[in-house]
Amino acid sequence: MKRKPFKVQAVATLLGISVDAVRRDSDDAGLQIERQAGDGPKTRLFSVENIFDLAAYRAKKYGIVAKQKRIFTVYAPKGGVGKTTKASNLAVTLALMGVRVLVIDLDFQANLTISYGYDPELTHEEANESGLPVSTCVDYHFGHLLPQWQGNGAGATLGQVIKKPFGENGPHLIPSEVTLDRLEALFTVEAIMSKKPELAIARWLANSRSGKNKDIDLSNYDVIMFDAPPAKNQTTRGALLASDFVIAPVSMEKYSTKSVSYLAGVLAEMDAEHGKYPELVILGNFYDMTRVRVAAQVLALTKQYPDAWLNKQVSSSEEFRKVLSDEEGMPLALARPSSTAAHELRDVTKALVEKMGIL
Amino acid sequence: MAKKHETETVFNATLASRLIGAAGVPVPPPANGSMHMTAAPTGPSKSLEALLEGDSPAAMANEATPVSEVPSDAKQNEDLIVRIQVQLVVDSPWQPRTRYDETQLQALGQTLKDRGQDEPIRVRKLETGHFQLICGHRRIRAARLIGWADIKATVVDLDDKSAELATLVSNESQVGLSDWERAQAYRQALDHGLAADQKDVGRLFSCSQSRVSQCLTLYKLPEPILQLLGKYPGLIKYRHAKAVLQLVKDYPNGEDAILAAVESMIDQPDIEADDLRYQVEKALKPKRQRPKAYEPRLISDKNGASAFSVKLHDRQIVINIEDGVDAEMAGKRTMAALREYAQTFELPEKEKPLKSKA
Repeated sequence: MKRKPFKVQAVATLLGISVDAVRRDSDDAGLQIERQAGDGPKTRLFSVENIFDLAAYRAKKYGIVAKQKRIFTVYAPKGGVGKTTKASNLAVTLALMGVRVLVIDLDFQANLTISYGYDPELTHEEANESGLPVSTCVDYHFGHLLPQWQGNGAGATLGQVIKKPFGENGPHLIPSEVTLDRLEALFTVEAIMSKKPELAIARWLANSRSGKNKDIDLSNYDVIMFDAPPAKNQTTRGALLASDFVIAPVSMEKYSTKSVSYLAGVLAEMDAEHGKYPELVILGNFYDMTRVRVAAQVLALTKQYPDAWLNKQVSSSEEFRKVLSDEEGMPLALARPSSTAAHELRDVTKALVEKMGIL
Repeated sequence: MAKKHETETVFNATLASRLIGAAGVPVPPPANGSMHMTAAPTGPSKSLEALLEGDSPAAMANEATPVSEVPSDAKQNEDLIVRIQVQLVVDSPWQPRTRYDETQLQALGQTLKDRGQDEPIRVRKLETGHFQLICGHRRIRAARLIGWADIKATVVDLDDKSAELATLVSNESQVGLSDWERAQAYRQALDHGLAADQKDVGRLFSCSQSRVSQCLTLYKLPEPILQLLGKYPGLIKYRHAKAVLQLVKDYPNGEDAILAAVESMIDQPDIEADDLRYQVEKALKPKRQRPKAYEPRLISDKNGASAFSVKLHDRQIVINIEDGVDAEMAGKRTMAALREYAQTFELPEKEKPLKSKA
């Protein structure tokens, strides 16, 4: 996929370092960076892959190693509160901090997959006809990696499923497409047969994260995150049970506040039944502290869940919608490095990294 | 308003029993459903591995079985070496080291691969079934890197305080702790009553009292720098800290500049203490004020049409005269106004230029 190149200043903003540090480290790292053509100054033009390579190089150079590997799910039962947008941007921002990230799209609508530049409905023939690389298509999804799916037909290897939208050092993606919701039916069959489908994702993760499963080795990832659909089904509950944290975006109105209460109920049930549940983190989205309605929701949430409220928020921004029509296949945090929204996203990510004890 | 509130499991059980043909599933009592907020759980949560303990073996077929159980009499026998699962080993909360160099870990991993493990790591068993490290934080990371499932370990039985002491001291003797990590360990030993004074700390960690005092100096640094150290423990050493403290004393208002200089060390770790001072002084030196380009001001006639536009520079007045204005008259009037103004002050006497002597 051809994306617009980044100038040094943009790279510096994305990595939170000086332009000089960008120049020096990219030289030291021996990155192949394009130069501007023509007679003018030969400015460096970074590809998006270059930026993540540089982030990884710096993480290595400064010995930034994850203190703790974490699994989390971005989820709220309410739709339209910004789950996918936050998940897609978070993954990118984490990777820019030098964290190795795997994102798993659990929503058959595949919006996160699309936000990284893929088209789940595109067939190989159509791709060839319109001159797009075949890698733009999505042939497999998370379901193909699970024994439930494999028992029902053909599965796929991790190498076939996984996508690397921004190169080796960017976030990796297990994409989604419309047939993923069949996984829910398979889980339901297991539920009827009392096979504890809620443990399926936990089993799969424990096994592939231990590094002992040579076919699916996820031991290299510092963070594995799920983008869950706004449903309260077997799949989302399985992801939650396997997670250390659940990040619940709220859109600062009454219904979304209520949805946190539903989520808390799910967590309490998990605690009672399994003694394991993800720690709740509430992320204020569409935030505007000057509005009374917002203040009222903050009050309601912090009163009931004082430890869960994240002290950094993301404001409403038209930019999020604008980026969607860019067709660059990049989330806002990458596409508009110096926008207010991108700054807020970086602050939110830092706060989350701290809260989850990742670095 | 009352509503049925079954847990998912109960629901699934009903579903199952309906399909299988059994009956008689108990219906839980209705819960109060008016607008309230359900509490989230707050207690401890199991790890992923603990959750799956006792999960049916068929489901976990490709999950390796534990290599060996720690014999129950391990508590009595301090020096018993056993093999424990790497995934059950957790870090010590008292470990002073906060950063692990990946290159070194890889090298260590290579050694483990080639030679095997010479020395067992030291752990103690927790009630949760995990093993908490006392010494061997780097080895366990290296073992994880090379994908070992189990590792040789000595399991000892220690209470919290002894475990803390053992962890602090054993790590001190290992390589490459930064001054800040040392300072934290020393401070911890003092705060937790493991040592009475700095001399005691020195004895405990087998180093001189002056070294202890040097490291503890880092605690005197301003809070923002301490926070920075939390993220980059190797950022500044004692001699930089000394320079920074002197700077703080010399420039009480220069905190931002000092912090910026220290932050720059993230990118230039080899910078000397003197350069640090130079940077701060450079930043604090008042910048030469660039003369501002003034906006022209307009002076208009009785009808509001502009007659003059006046630009004030640093030591210059430029007056543009619009067409139709009597330029000579304007000049005379301006001169008159300046003369009048000049009568209102006296200039200090100027030193005579040297040339005029000749």
